[in-house]
Amino acid sequence: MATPSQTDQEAPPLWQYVPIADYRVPAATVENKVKTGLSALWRHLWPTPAQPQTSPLKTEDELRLVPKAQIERIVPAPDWQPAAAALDDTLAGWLDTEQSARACIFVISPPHGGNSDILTAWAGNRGWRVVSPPSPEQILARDPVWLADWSRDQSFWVLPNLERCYLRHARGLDLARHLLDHACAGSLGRGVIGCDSWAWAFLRKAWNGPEPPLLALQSFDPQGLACWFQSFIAGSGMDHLVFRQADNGKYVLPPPESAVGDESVETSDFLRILAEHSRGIPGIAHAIWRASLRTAPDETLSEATTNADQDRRGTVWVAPWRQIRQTAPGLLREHAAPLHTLLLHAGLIGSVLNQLLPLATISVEATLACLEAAGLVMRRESEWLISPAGYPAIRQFLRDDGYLTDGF
Amino acid sequence: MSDGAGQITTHLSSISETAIVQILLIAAGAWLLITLTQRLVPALAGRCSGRHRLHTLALVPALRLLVIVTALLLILQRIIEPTFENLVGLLGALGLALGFATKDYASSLIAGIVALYELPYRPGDWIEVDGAYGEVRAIGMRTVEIVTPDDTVVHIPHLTLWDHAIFNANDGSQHLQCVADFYLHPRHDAAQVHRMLYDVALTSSLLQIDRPIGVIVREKPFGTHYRLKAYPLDPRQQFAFVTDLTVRGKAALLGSGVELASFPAVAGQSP
Repeated sequence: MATPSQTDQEAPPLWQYVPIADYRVPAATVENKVKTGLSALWRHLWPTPAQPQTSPLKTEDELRLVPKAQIERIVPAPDWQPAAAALDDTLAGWLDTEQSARACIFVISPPHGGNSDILTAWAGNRGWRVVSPPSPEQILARDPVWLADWSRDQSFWVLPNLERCYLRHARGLDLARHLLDHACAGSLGRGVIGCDSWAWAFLRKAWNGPEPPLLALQSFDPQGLACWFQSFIAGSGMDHLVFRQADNGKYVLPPPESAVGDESVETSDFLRILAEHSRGIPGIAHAIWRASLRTAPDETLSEATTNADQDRRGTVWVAPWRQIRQTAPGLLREHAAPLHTLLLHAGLIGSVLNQLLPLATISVEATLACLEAAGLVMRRESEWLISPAGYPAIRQFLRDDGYLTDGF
Repeated sequence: MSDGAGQITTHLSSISETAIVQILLIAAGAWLLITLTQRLVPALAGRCSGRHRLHTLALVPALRLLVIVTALLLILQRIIEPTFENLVGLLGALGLALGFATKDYASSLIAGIVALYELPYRPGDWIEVDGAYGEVRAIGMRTVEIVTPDDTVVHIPHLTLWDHAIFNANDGSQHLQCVADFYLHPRHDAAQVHRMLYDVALTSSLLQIDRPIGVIVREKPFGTHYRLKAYPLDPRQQFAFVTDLTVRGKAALLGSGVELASFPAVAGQSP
């Protein structure tokens, strides 16, 4: 392993797996906590539309959303390979030991943390078998064949989504309990289990086995987000772009080298607020970042092909936080159960969701359609899941209503 | 004492018109403040989430007592010189009059003040008094107002506090235990049913998961009686919660081939 340089010692690696006890949610400053708390209380008691700030540098009308083709270049879908490499480093000690005391390791991640993709990528790199979860019918039938088939093959395995192996139903827990008993006892061989943090919070109530070793991808702080967002454009020909906040012109990502040392250059606190709001979860920060980017109609955000292009820096405007902050508009008590159920299972198809909810006088489909229109849930193929932008507000809503929440 | 009463009479006769206007204004102001708190605070509590709702509601009677005491002190200042003798004389005379004329009414008022101190019920609590069960909606000067599950408003005099048992199901907290009853045919695997009913409660979306779940089994002449005990997220969801436990419990039991107890059938089999 290379000796870490001075810079490496100062800044922790971008992708870092830590024991769950060392996981840190980006801390909100007292000032921001008070401000957020008071404004949330005010909006809750007397909901009113946000007042625009006076004389912004760029008004909302002067800007438009960045075209889809360009946003795919500026903020492409996350590449999870560096995270898979970080996981490999973390598990090196466990992998090198022939007979480890621990048969399996658990990797827990909050919603939109990319856990399933990372573990699948890691399994591909290592050549480990990826175990597919049982179907809802198999779970409810407590199908012994699924687990028996798995245990027959003693090769190393990865189960990327434990949350797909149970249902919050009277007959939906036994299979997951047996799986956890067998996995922790080592009768399934060595493997890695990935699980959503909400599902894990629930399963810990349903399964009384000893606490297994738990790892989590460390949350992103503002500096981590800045590095990550910059890495998207680095080397892609788009690194001549600067990112400035639309209302005050402050730099959101670090300013170009030519502006370093210029005392008139100010940096925005957008990323700090984004890190707090997204709780440092990469997928959520990524989605909000994409939604926040704007461009002026006369601006061209094309690749720089010549030195002249490099000198003529294009500006991507970042919408002020108050414009993009997703509150929980009109969330009612009857919305809580479907939202919580979706979170506990990291998404469900409508027919299964119906089976897991109590008798209701309102239609679940109609409720989901309302929540989709509000941007709080979304559809992926046939499944309903909580949208990345809606997650922070939903989490707060459920926590206030006394629902079980995750520790992330 | 007679000197004191004489002085009070002298004071009362010398009350100026200005003082009377002031007293009327104080009384009107106090009434307005009480009305406002009784309307605004519950409205505010309705907008709060579960855990803050009960605390906000509990402010109503305390604020009202504060307003009444302040108003009384201000009025007394304008009627008599607030010396010890004058106060004893006035309150004695007032007490005597009230004691004879409106004994029960006065008793309810005093019990209302005691209720604020002892807290046998608070707004938002689910109580049972004299067979009436419901949620405490408001605590008035003389009565406590509860709303039954059938949406009937019952006014119970605070006087009941002196000599009746008051059953408070949640006692100012969010924790209200609910019980769902299941009566099963005696021939079944009790351990399996016990586990099944536990999971029925654990998987309810209305469950307060950090509170314990209990399954009590008792053998009866007609079959086996299971009592599934758990806590809903919010006391107001208690009936929906019991319904959810009952419906899903019954489905799970029937799905596993467990028979429900049937009085005539069991009775018909007995010699």
